[in-house]
Amino acid sequence: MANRLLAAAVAVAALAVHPTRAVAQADTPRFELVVQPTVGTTSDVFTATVRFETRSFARPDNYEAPRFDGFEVTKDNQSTGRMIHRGTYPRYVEFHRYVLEPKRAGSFHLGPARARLRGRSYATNRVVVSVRDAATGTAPTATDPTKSGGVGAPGYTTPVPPAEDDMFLHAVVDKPTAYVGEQVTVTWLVFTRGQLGYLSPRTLRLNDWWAETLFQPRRNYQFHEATIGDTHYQVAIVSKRALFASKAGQVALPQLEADASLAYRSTRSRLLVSPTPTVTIKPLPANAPAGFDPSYVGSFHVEALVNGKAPTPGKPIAIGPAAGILLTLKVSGTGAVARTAPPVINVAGFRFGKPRDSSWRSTTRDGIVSGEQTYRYWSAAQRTGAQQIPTIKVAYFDPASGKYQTAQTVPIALLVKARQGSGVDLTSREDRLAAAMRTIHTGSINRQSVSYFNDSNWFWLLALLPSLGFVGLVVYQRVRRVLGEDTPKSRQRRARSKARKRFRSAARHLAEGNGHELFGELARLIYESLEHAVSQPVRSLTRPQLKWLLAERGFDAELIGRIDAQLDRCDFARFAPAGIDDAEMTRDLERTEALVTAIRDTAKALASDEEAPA
Amino acid sequence: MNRIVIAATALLLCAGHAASAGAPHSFTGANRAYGEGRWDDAVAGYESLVAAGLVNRDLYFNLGNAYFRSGHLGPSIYNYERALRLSPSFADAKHNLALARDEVATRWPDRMKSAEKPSTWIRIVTFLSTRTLTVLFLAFNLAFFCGLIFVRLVRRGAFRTSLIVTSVVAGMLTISAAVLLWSNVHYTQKVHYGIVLNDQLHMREGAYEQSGEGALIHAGLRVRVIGRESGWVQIGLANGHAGWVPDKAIGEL
Repeated sequence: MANRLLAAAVAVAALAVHPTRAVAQADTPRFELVVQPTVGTTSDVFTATVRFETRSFARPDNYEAPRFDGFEVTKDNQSTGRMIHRGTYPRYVEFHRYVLEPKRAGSFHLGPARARLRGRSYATNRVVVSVRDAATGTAPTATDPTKSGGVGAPGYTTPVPPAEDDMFLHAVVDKPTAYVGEQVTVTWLVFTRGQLGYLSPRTLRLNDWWAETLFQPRRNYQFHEATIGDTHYQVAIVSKRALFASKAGQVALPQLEADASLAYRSTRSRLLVSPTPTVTIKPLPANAPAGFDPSYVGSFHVEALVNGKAPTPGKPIAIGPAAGILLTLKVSGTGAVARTAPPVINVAGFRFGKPRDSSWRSTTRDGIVSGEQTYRYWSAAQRTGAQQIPTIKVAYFDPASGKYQTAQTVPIALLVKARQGSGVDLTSREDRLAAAMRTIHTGSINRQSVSYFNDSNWFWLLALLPSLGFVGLVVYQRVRRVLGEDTPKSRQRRARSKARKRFRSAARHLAEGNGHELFGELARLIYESLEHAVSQPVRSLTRPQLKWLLAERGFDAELIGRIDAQLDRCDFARFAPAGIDDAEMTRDLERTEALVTAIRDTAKALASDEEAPA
Repeated sequence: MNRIVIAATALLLCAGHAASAGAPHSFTGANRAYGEGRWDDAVAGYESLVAAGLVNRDLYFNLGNAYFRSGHLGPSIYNYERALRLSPSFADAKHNLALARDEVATRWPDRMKSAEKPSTWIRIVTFLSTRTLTVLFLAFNLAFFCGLIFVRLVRRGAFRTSLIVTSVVAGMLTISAAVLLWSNVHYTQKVHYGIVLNDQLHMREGAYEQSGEGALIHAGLRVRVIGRESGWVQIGLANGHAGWVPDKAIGEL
């Protein structure tokens, strides 16, 4: 019992605590301190801003301003605001702004500001501000300010800052001249005097260059300090690329564009544009050796393997009868390895085509692009016996020496075994694959088309036909059931149908001039109408009995008289039709039609009288 | 005059015959090149027929073989897939496609995890061919409604009870077959797939050369074609990765 009570109490407590916790998490305030600029001199004015923002209308209690050691607060103000974010979410924002003047030079830790919200204490971040003496400001320096981060900008030069601009881009190129295809390292730097809100570089337009990325900050920029004249900046690398020129002449570097803003000025985002220094690109010398491909600029080494085996001096590599040879050529070195063209292999006794596949890997260690391209060629030996793949030469231009060089493989001795009998030695993987493959289809070919049965009308017809059959059966059974029921309505429908048939038959007899049949049909029509009206057989009744019955059922005397007269006329005419002409027969037909209508109306009126409440 | 007319007619007939017989001659020529081990010539011959608009499963199969023998696994797999699209029960193409995929697995063992394995649901719905599922759906549908019709015609008895049970089972099977068929049609006919043709290439984050590099993909990988933009194709892998590649690197099925 005690255990159950304890468990229940724990559950209730958990339920009670849970929503509070959720509310607390949802209402964690944004509380931060920003100082602009973070680097300056003793003659500069600094601004500190504390922002407190909650996702409700709750205000902070006991706000405590940050410590500004080394600074004098010359002015401060506060502003608050309540808003409904996106029409749904409440927001409360409070800003405290402080204008600071440094008392002395040094590095100061400002903050944190403190506040309480719903009994919980919160504190802002701390900001390090570096202040230098204005009188002894550092002289302009050409030292790479990013060097300490390990990703320095080769060939760094001090930029000329734009007038009255606290943020700009700078482009640094490592060399003023280069050959076509030689690596040129370009570093784009951002200089800022304030805390960076965001910086989003746009895509580079590499018109006359092929590029390899050397360094690209993934998340945060790594800032360093730099001084230009009397002004202190924070500097970070935005991008660092190895560029390879594709044409000679005075070629401008690609221009880097970036959308940027300082912290708390995100609404004032602006476009920063880097300068575009030009580089003199020299053409390659004219005395290129035969087979030289202009993509080979750098320093290269080549190595050849046969069927994955490196050549051993004095020991030929054995090739099975009619077996394939896989020649692997590895080109490694520094330069734009990824864009090098595959060497063309012309070896007597073999027929090597284009490489069947290739793979490459490159590294950018120490800012130099290097790597290895592996090309795989396949061929079958065209003759047997001892053979040799001679040295394969790859000519390249070495920009360091300014001369063409040649890298070459060592000759590879092969021993192609002769075929014995008709069997094929399937030692190589290519031959095993060839044997396992189903061979090509020969013969005539015709145009085919992709057609899906499920898209055709036949599919829908076959799919819907059973359901339509079922629906048809249901409808048929329903109609049959309705028609087969014995209700006043169905009786009336049947009587009318019968009457229509009688009238059509009478009209036919009239057209044929058959008076006997016509009057017989009219008499039957009147009797059937009466039987339907009084709901009992009347043909066996004598005429007085019929009149009494009709009167008893409520038919008025005038109608009874008309019925009697017409029945008399029919009896007479049936047995003496010769004395009646066509006009009279037509009038009889019309009279009978009117009589039947009157009988039907009377029967309907009498029936409704009976149904009406007494 | 008559002679001139007869000669001109004969010339026209000969020219017409030569034009109609052009395709088989090229096909024969490409087959001959294949037989002689001139794989590149065979590829060129078959490709010229494909470029001329000829669509035929044997042509695609032979082209796949020529690419396979010349070591180009991506185009080889692409053409086997094209042959199988025309003729899903093409046993030779299935066999060689399996060999080519084995070769891809041998050549690039460090392929991306789950990039080729479709989700369990896709594997279930594509386990049977569209044609088989269509036949099953129509058969179950017919059995279901025939059962219902007989249930209405037979008034009572054990036979009627067995008819009701049969109809319920057939109805459930009809619904299952319809769902499978719809999903199968969606994944095989409505969703556009492509085959990676290059030996290996990096997907890009955007439709331009300088955008960030994504995952490395290999030849023969079956990818979903999501969109196109000025010479680039946005592709999606089975493991959810997506990126852009040049459109020449993808053969769309």
